[in-house]
Amino acid sequence: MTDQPEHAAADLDGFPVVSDPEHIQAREPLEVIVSRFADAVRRGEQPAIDDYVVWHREWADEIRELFPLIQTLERWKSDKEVECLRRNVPDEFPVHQVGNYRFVRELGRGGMGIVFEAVQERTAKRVAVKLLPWRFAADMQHWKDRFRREAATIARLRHRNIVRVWTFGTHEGYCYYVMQLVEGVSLDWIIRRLRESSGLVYVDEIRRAGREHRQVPAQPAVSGAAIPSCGLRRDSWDEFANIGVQVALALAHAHGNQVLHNDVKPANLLLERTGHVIVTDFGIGRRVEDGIAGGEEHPTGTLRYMAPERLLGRCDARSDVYSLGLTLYELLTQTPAFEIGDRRQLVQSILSSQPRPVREIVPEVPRALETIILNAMAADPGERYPSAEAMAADLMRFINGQRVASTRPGLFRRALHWSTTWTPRRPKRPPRL
Amino acid sequence: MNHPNRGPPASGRSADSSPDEIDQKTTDLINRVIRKDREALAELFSLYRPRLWRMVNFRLHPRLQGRIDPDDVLQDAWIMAVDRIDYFLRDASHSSFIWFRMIVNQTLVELHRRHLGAEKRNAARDVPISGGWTSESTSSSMAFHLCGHLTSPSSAVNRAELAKQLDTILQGMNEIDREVLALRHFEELTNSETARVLNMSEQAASGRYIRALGRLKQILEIVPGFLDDQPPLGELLRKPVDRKP
Repeated sequence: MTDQPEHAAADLDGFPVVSDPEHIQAREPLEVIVSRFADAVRRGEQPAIDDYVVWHREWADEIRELFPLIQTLERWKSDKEVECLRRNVPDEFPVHQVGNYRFVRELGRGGMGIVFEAVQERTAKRVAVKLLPWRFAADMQHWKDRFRREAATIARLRHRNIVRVWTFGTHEGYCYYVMQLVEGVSLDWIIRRLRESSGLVYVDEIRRAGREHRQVPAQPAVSGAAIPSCGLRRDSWDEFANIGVQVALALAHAHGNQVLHNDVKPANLLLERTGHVIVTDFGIGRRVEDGIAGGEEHPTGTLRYMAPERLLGRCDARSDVYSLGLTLYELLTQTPAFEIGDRRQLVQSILSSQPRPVREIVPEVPRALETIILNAMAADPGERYPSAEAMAADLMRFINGQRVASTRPGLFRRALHWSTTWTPRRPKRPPRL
Repeated sequence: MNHPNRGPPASGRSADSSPDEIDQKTTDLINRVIRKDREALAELFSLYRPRLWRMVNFRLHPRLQGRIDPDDVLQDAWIMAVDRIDYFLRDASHSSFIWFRMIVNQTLVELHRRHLGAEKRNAARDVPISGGWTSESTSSSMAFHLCGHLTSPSSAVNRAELAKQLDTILQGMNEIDREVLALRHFEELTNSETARVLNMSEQAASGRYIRALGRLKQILEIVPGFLDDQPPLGELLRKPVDRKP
């Protein structure tokens, strides 16, 4: 605070500001255009190079030469910054409270955030808080916007199988949002347990693991088809189908609200001990490149379940259907459809090869269930279920012992298909979201 | 000649004026800092904080990355800024951001001296190009940050080796051009800020930036593993692929 009121500072109005136009004219015209483009990229506007070519025809060659480089450099820079930020997140996170939510324990770390179990102080309500672990993230406008958009989008979706999001806030430079705490385990945990020798997961285990990782339930969960009293076994076909139905219905609801999940995979689907499934971690605003060039610590976690067309930057509701198909494939066989550690090889293999047939790995899988999965994970979007709803309907038919509606991509059809040189087909009616 | 200002319809702030533009709020803060108002200094500092963070993150020696949190460096710099508030009027008259950047810079140089010894990043030994950084420190930082995206283990050469190789080539660049590139791209300084830091005309700074970008493109094209080894995924599928059942 000033304690020199006699000082003549009041006469000053900032520092003299040099007026602008002269300066712009003194600059290289191309540099001014480059700077404008780079600023737009930095603001996350995804400017089109062709627009700049049209606006500045006299510089067309230079723009075509330099602008792609600028896009690449900006992407590298932002990836590197996120990598550096991640590395600086301490193991023991120094914040123990945001707003009136007191952290109880850390539940997990994802690509962008840390999720905590927390208690709302006045009401003693137990919640989950997802937090961007970088102080001053609130000052970094594009992160804050992206994070807020993620929270707002999920908050709009009200569905019993989609995690509820209640509030978004900032606390001493940290951004966070508050959501429903799920008592349960992720499907990748289930798959891991089923893969182990006994091939059996007891209900009690789900509850215990859920407590270790998550919390004690606040209210009894309601569900249509509970897991039978013993738990899940490798041949719990109906229960697996039921998990698929719930996820498909959640996705159908999101798609109806113009939201794609973008990151359907076992780790993002939580199973409560009642058999109720909650879909979490929507990949909103996430770019495809994030999965491909992402941090080293999760080399291929997201990529492995990505639809071929999504790798090319196109996606619609059927891309989520594909990822769910792959998830169910893994749940049934305990074998990932594509198991390659290296990113580029994995991409190649998603684009050009076919996973081993389900019944070749596990002959006991009912034929109808295999047909459903085969139809969900067809490489060509046009051969998949047209919507998540259609997939849910077929799964329900299977559970009810009815004939599934989808026909199996028959041998003849397949032979015909493979014999022609495969080129990516454009979706016939892309219900683009 | 067509004026380069022609372009996209202005939405919000114009790109040319964004960080350089001194709005009324900033002017008010500056006036209060001149009157030695520490709260205003804190507000001004937090306004620039993301940009200063980016600078620290870029300049931090690769060996210190992960060991030192840029936030801590900024904290130390803030204490130094408070100590110098009396000199704000005298030293910050051109740009208050550059004043803060200079202080952060000094904090960083001091920190490198402490952690890496006198032989590394020694500001006193070489002619400082931009506030205390030797040309070799800039090129190694650039190499480190440019190699960030190379995560594929299938790369014939690993990331550290590539960084070293790139570093050597970057050192062959004209050092002023390289510094302009560091300031414009990695630190995201504006053209006029860059000119101010490097004590040159805006015209010279803008010409050098374009030249440096062209040079960098050539470099990235010749070093294996950069632009050549990263075909856009689109191209992968444009090639007809045989699908085998």
